[in-house]
This record gives sequence, C-alpha cells and structure tokens, in this order.
Amino acid sequence: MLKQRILTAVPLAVAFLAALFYLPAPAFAGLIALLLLMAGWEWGALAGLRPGSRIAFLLVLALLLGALLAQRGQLEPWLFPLSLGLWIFLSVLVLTFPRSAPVLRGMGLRLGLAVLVLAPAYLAVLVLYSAGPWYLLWALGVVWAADIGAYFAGRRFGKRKLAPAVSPGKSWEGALGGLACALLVSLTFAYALAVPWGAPLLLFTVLVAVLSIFGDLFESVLKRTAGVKDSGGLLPGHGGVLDRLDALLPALPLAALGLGALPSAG
Amino acid sequence: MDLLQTILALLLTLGILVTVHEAGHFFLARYFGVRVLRFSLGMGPVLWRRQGAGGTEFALSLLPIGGYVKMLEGDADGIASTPGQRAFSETHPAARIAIALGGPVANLLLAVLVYWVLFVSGVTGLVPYVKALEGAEGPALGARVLAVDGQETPNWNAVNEALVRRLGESGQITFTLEGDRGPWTLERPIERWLADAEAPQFLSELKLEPAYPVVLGRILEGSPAEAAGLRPGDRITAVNERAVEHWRAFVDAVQAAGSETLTLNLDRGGEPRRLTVQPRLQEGKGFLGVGPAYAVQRWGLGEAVGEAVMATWDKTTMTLGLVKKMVQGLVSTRNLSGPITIAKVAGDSAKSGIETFLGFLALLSVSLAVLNLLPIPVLDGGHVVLHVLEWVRGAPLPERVQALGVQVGLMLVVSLMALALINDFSRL
Repeated sequence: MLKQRILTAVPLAVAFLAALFYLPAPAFAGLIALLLLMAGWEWGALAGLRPGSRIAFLLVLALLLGALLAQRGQLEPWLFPLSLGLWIFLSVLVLTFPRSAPVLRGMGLRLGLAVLVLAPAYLAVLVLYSAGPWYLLWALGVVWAADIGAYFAGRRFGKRKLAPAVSPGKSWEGALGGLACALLVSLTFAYALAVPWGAPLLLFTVLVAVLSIFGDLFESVLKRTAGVKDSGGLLPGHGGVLDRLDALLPALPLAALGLGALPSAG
Repeated sequence: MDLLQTILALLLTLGILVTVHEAGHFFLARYFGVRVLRFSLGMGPVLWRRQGAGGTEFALSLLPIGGYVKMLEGDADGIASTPGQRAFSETHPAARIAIALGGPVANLLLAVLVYWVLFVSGVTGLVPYVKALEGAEGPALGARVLAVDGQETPNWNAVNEALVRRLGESGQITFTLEGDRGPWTLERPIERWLADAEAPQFLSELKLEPAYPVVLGRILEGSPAEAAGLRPGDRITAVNERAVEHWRAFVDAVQAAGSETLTLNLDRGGEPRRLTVQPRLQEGKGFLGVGPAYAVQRWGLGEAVGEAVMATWDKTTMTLGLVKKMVQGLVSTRNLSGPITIAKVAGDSAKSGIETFLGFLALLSVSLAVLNLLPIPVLDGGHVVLHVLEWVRGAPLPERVQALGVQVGLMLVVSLMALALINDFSRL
C-alpha cells in the first residue's frame, strides 16, 4: 500500500511542480479548475446523483468556477471568511459524528456544500498563485507535511485514536507529529522567502494544519454517510481525486486569508 | 451586474431549449399512450413538484442544466395496461423511435419559429456598396446596390440571398446601383454560375467586390460629429486632405488623431464641402461618434416561413459539416465550446439586443438537435439506433451489449465535455 502510494505520489508531485512553475498562468488556472471539477464529479457521486445528473452538476460547477475566474478580485474579501466560518461548522459536524449524520442527509445540502467548499478553494489557489508560485507551494507544503508527518508519526507512535467514529486509522500522536512537520516546513518557507516569522505565523500554521485534518475527516464523514471507502478510483493507491484534495479544501482559503496579513507578500 | 446578466441569459436560453426538447419527447410519449412519470426541468434533487393529468408529475429540479422526461419502464410481462398508461418498453419500436426523435425535432421546430419571428420583425444589416475589381468595367468607387434582378436589397443579407438564388443558372444578373453618377444598371453575364464551386465567392466571380465607403449612417447624440454638423448620408472623401476610401482607413485616421482638430472633405447630396471637427479622447484614441448605415430587411408572414425553414436547414447542414470536419480532423477541436463559452455568448447577445439573442437562440436550438441526433449511446440518436436494431432483429439487443454501449457513450460524452471545458477555461 505504502509502496504503491509513493509510486503514484512521486510522478504526480513532479508533474504538479512542473505545472506550477512552467505552465502559463491561464493554463495553470484551467488545470486547477479541472482538478476541482474531478473532485466535484466524485462529490456528486457521494451525494447520490445518478450519471445524467452528475454531468449536469459538473456543468454547473464548471460555470461557477468560470464565473469566479472571470470576476476575480471582487469576491475574496467575503468568500474566504465565509469559507472559514463554513469549515468551523463542518468541523463541529465531524466532532459530533455520528449524531450529526442526519444533518447531512439531504442531497441538495450535500451538493450545496460541494459548491461552498470548492469555490473558495479555487479562488484561494488563484490568489496564492498570483502572489507567486512559492506562496502557493508554501500553503500546499504545510498541508502535505501535516498529512505525511501524521502518517509516519502515527505508524511509529500511534496509540490513542483521534476520531474513532469517523476515521479509525488516525491517532493523536500522528496528528501531533503532523503539526510538528507542518511547522518545520512553514518555517523553512518563511526563511527562504524572507518573511519575518514569529508567534502569529506559527499559530497560523497550526490553524491551517488543524483545519486540513478536519478537511480530511469531513470527507470521511461524507463517505460514511454515502457508505463507500474511496471517493473514486482515478489514482492507484490514493482513492479518488477528492481523497487527495480533501485536506486542501479548508486549508487553502485560510492560507489565502492569511496571505493578506503577510507584510512582504504584496 | 454583468455576471448576473450572463447567468440570467444562460438560464433563460437553456430553460427555453430544454423545455422545448423535453416537451417534444413528452407529447409523443403521451400520443403513443406511454405513461410519463415525471417531466422535470433541471436535474438532480427535485425542488418543486406538481401532479398533472395522466399521472405525470411536473417538477423543477436543483441543477438548472438539462432536464428529463421519465417514462414508465416495465418488464414487458404482458400485464394488460390501461390505455394511456403503457410502459415505454411495451410500445412498438417505431413508436419508440418517434419518441426519441421528438426532442430534436421539437428543437428544430423551435428554430424555425424563432427565425420566422426574426424575419417577420426584420433583420438589420449593413447597407451594401460594391465596386468593380481592378481592371473590370463597373463602379470604381463604392456604389450602393439598390436591387439585384429587380429585387430590393436594403442590406448585405438581401444581396447575398438574391445572388444565392441564381447559383447554377445561366443568363445575366442585373444590379441596380446608385453611385456618384446617379442611378445606373450593371449587367453581368453568367453561365452555369458557380455550379461546381465548393465555397462560392459570389461577388468576385462577377468581377465585383464589397466596398465600405465612408457614408455616415448613425451620428451619436452629443458626439463631436454632431457638434461639427455632420449628417447621415454625408460621404467623407478625405481626412486632412488625405483620401479615405473605406471605413477602416477613416477609423484609423480618426483614432490616430487623438483630440487634434481634423479637416474633413465630404460630399453632401453631390455638393463638396469642408468641415472641421475635434474628436474626443476615448480610451486614448480619437472618437467622433459616427457609424455606417444599417438597414432592415423584412419578409411577409408567408414568405418568412420558407425563409425560416431554409435558415434552419442551413444551420443544420452547417453544424453537421462542422461535426464531420472535426471527426476528420479538418477543424480543430479547439472550436468546441462548453457551457462557459455558451454562457458568455448568451450574455453578450442578450446585451446587444433581441435580434442577436434570437439568432443565437435559434442557432443553439439547431446545435442541440443535431448533437443529440448523433448516433452515440445515451444521446437521442443512440436511442434511435438501438430501437432500429431491435426492430430489425425482432428482439431487444442483449443487456450486456446495451450496458457496454452506455458505458462507451458516457465516456465519449464526458471526454468531449472535458475537451470543451478545457477550451472554455483557456478562453477566459
């Protein structure tokens, strides 16, 4: 499992980095839209849509992302705080699962959530990317470090379960290890980009990493309510595209919100 | 707000097209006595429903793209069904073919209707001027085309139509012109005119070419042109003593001038005049506020029917031709457009007036009909093929084959859509 994961992850990471640094900006924006649409396609299935309706849902999402791309610069001030508020609410759902399960029963609500979650994430990628590829990579690096750190720390030290009702494989020890890795990566980026670092930055990194865990857990909640294990079969060893992006969905809008507070990232 | 207008235009366009399409399926299904369980505008979760006659539920659903007619599917176990309450699978294959064709046909009929409205209320186009090709006999400067073969030609649209009518004929084409020397007629002989040409170049074959002389049509209120005393019908011959023969040269000269005062030589009803005008700066370029002359061509109520059918037929063959060329690789798939481009065009055409919007609606209706008729499983055309095969065989195709067909069709449709979406995003 681990070997297959790495075998898939390395070429994906290389391809992504190449796209990040070498693709022209419009093509990169299109690529990200495509990835999020694939995630939306899987989300549509998790929400219980039949194939015909999934196509319609995909088209609606595409229109929405297109509109976001065309109207950039007007929505950020309220879309990112809205995303943060939404994710605090979704985190509460995760913490109270399975008692919260009935809340997610409506198909309309689950589809609406897809829109409310994917749209800010798309805008966040665009905002971070236009600040510079390195800033986007910083945010991604924090999330990936939290994920990878949690995986290894959990395997080595994992004892106490973090969320037994949602995701039995996760442990408190793993989460703490993930946070440590995230902090390390974040400090490296801050140093490399000559951004002054201090308590606020460290606290913010922890917040982003914690929210990324909730993103992961919320997708598990969705899958549990839909009764499946992987969101799709597009990536060998990784489940679906949504399984790869879930942690990023809450983390990127928060990171984009934090970008505005950075002194040197005008 | 711009975005809101685009979204509304898209919803309106899709709403009309989908309703008409599904209504086509619905009415034929009812005609053949099939019970329709639900007629939904939109897909996904139902938001609003209402029970109608014949056991049909009319519904509005969440996702505003598409819609469906859900018919009773029964195992054909011979349970005697009440009239008008049959299952789709119980009907004769011919009836099923008709039901599948109902949607696309309804879209084609809608296109005819929309074109008819358009032609009756009038089509706006540039006033036509022509000049002779170099070395040929005829008007050297742009002369206005008043009629072709005695048929009045208020705009270019009418000229093209009059010329198309003569394709493949022999004899002569008569132009009634109005130039600087007053009205005159020009006759050009034709001999099996362009019968073999693939892409006919009507005018150049007649040793003529379109001319765009600087004859003012519209003068904006409160514009520098109005202040300087320019009038519709004025023919501008020179800017700052330099001759301008067509609009392009005129526009270039004015834009380049910025806000510097210009001297215009013009011809007003045969009398030469000179005027000075000071352009206004707009986005860094000189701006006068004038435009060329447009005219409206109208058809009679009956006449417009034939025209509308012809226009629909033209668009149908054009769309089919494009699909064919795309499959052959002659036309790049970059021309494929997805929902975002459609939304943009819908918004823009709604903004530029009802005439443009109707033209777009009719064209989209034809495209929807043609694309749905392609013999791909999951599309209407695929269903038609399926029912034809069943009719010929005398028994339904094996489940396995049908399921495979649906898989392949779905994959084809989804990858086409992905291609269209990539094009959409790269155009933003």
